[in-house]
Amino acid sequence: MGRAYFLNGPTMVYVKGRTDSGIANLTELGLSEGPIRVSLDFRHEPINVDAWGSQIPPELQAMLAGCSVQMNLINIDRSVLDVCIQLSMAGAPAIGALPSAGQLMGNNQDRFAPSLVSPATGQLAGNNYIGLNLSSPVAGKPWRFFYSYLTNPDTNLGTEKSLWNLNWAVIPYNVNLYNGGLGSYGQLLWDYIGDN
Amino acid sequence: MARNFQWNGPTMIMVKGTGALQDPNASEPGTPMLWELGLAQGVVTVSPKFYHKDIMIDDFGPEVPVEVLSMLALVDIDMTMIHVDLDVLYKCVLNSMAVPNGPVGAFSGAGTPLGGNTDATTDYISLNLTSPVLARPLRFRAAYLAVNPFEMPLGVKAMPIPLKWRAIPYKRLKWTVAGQATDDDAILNNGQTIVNGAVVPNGMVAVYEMKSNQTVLWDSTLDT
Repeated sequence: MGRAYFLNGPTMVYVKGRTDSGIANLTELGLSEGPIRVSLDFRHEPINVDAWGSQIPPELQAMLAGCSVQMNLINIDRSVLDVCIQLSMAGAPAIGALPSAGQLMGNNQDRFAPSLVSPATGQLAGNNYIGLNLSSPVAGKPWRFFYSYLTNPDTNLGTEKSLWNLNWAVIPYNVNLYNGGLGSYGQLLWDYIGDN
Repeated sequence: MARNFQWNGPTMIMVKGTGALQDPNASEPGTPMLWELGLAQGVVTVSPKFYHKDIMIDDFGPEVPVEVLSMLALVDIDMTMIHVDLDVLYKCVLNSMAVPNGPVGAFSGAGTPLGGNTDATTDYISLNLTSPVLARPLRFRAAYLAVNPFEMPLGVKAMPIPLKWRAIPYKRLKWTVAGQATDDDAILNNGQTIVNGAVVPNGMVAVYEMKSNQTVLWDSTLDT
């Protein structure tokens, strides 16, 4: 790929979630009013050495990464957004309701695993992380964030158009933490393939 | 090995033993089994404690020893578990309280030895710490949960469970024959002492003793 101006094109936001949720299939969430901001959060741990003055490290250790995705959606499917809100609250039983305090988001389940317990008990134990997909019709480099969730969505209500300010957090969720001693090696935070 | 920054890598904590840790499916009772206990929230701290005894003589004054005697060692191992198999942890608790058959929370009689002068069926736990990056795993062959063995913060958050282990250089009493380098079991048979299948020769005495020399406190060969 040579050097060029990078134009993503009109970016459709897609979401996909638990197989027993309202977004079991790849579903359009909506279009953004302005650019969608993807912020990668790399973490490094410094190793300080007295011989180097203990302030500027001579070496760093990579300590994984997260990501945040911010968008202001203006053309949005509210029912899809409601499902995303429920899942982001660890699979709350209804929109506006809360899960049990301490409910895990992934529940040691594989991606998109459904709830294993009847919703009537209030104990939803599926994998509630959402697959967040950003299309790239011009550049051809879509983003797929494997394990994301909404943090603090907000909107404005009035006679003018309503925008939904959505902040997504992305983490490297995994059920196999030790992985034979490899730990997080090879864990995908995002890729450029996209869910289907 | 050249000088470099050293880090152990993701450390899996595994335990092996008999008693509550025995293989439940083995045909022979008391068969030890290796279990994964879990992963720690932070670092696993290994703190050996070496003991020495000073020899003082007046010629050297009252403060500084002229010679020091090595008096063995212990190891304290501290960890806070966050991704843990509670069933395995409770098995460790049972062994450490010398009640391998349970129930959890019960005690054995005061004074019950963990080793019981056996090798095959002690309540000691072989504590294994993997070392995928540094490639220097640690195995403490006679460990137990000690003093303040664990804390259970009960609430809605994921429980970090601090564990305090102690490892000792356990070695059971064995028969030895004076003048012979043997630790094999002896049998008293009609007044004769038999060691290694042979009667103890005249003039030699079989004694029941413990030798601390070469007792292993830890090694780098993980259990399988």
